[in-house]
Amino acid sequence: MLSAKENFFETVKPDGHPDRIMKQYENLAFLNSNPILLYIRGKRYPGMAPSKDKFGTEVLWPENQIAAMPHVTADNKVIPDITEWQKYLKIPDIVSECSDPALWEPFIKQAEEYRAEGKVLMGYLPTGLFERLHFLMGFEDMLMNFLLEPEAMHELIDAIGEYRFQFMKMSVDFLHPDVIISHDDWGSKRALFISPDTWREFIKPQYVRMYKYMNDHGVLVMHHADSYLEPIVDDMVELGIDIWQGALPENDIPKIQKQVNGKMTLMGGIDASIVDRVDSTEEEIRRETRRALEEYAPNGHFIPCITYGGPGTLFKHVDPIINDEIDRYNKEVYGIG
Amino acid sequence: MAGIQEVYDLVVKGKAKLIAATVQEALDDGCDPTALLNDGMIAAMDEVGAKFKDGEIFVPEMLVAARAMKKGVEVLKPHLATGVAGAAGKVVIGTVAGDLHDIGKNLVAMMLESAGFEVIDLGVDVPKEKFVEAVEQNPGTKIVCCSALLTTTMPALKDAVALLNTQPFRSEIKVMVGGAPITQEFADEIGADAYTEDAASCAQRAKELVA
Repeated sequence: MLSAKENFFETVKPDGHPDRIMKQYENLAFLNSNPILLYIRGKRYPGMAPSKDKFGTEVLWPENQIAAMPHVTADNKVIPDITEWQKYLKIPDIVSECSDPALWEPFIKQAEEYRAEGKVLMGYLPTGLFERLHFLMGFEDMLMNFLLEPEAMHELIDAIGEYRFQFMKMSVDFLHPDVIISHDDWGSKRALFISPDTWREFIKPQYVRMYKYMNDHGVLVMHHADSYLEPIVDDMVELGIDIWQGALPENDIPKIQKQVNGKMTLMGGIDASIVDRVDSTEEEIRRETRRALEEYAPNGHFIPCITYGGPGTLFKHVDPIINDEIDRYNKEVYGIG
Repeated sequence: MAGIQEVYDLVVKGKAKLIAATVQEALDDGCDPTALLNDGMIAAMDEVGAKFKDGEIFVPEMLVAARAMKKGVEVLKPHLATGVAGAAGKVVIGTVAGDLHDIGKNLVAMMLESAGFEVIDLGVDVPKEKFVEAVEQNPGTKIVCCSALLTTTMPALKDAVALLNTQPFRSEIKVMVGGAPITQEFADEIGADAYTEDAASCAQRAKELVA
């Protein structure tokens, strides 16, 4: 029987031979803090007073919310006029502020401990390029600016792309993770937010250099987007994305699996609206997990998972049942469990 | 001579900079303001919504069209009889208690406005009682739209609909629900009148509900 770590790498390799289905983020050590995140975001916790991140976006985390979230209004948006974005925005200089090796020491030590335990190290790149754009100007302005002010948008995107490249590079160079989960939601559950052509013109180019650096340095690219992305899956393969985390069941997953032919592993497939509810029953959770396993696992390169961009369901009773159902499946199909 | 067709085309293409002058020209040429609104602008947004539903265009194109319509309505409004703008009826909209997400809700509000509704937007994290108060304070409200993005706030959506369902005005309004985790099955279970998958479908369904 393969170790959990070996099984992960075999699952992701185009010609790999895993001996069982992985259980969600099984054995992935989530390195979800580092000096850059602390610098950009500060300390965040439920019930904190409204604060601003280093980009100037107001962030709220009321007591009753599951996570911090940007609060962009007509009055507080960082960039009220895209044509003058340089007047309003100073991109945080993380190279100057976060390059001191002493800052990274505790995080490197933590990563080494996880490695010694046989874990797969998963670095963290939250707030993708597309997401940063709407954090800065609001969703509607951003979408319209792609069409109405393309030149200014390109300039801003280049600047954010460079920031995010440096973020990724420092994460790779200091922590040497096995994989990095990089967030950027590009669509709703039914459609891309922007046309594939607009995405290819504005968003894709920034990911070419970023994901190439990761590919070249032996770091697997796990891109998180719990979105409908069928129209751009070939582009995602081209970008060097090894794992698409957040593959919603609204996508035709079997069709995509055939299309990408093992070059990109799909992670997700379990419908959160069915399983991750306060009143979801064990039977409902098992039925949905089993459906995902039976429909997607036989095609290979599939990791059944909740579609959120990090480990853990919102309701505590859900995760153990999903994992137990995957165990049952592994025992029945592979004789391992 | 500028007319309904020109205005219609400018809305579909999202030409906000050109539309004000074209609407003015059409009015000067004797075009009926109500026809310009209904057959020029609202009908154009119907086409935009249909193209969105078919995947022919995406949200940015829809937003740009709505923005053009808004510019056109600004010119048109002084010429319309009272109550003609927003004549489809009043809609109260909000994201339910405990949920701060507003992207989807805002898109729905924008599409409803473009479909000729007067939208009363209560914002996010709206306590269930606020939906009721808003209906009471806005006589003639025809629809209440409640949104939830998280599975954690589905119970709040259920509570909001339950409270609306006990109100004396219930038979005079329709309750619509939406949001990422919401399904038709859930909408039926909690006693809502309608669920739609996206903003364009919501505007279309809203028009059917009040017809």
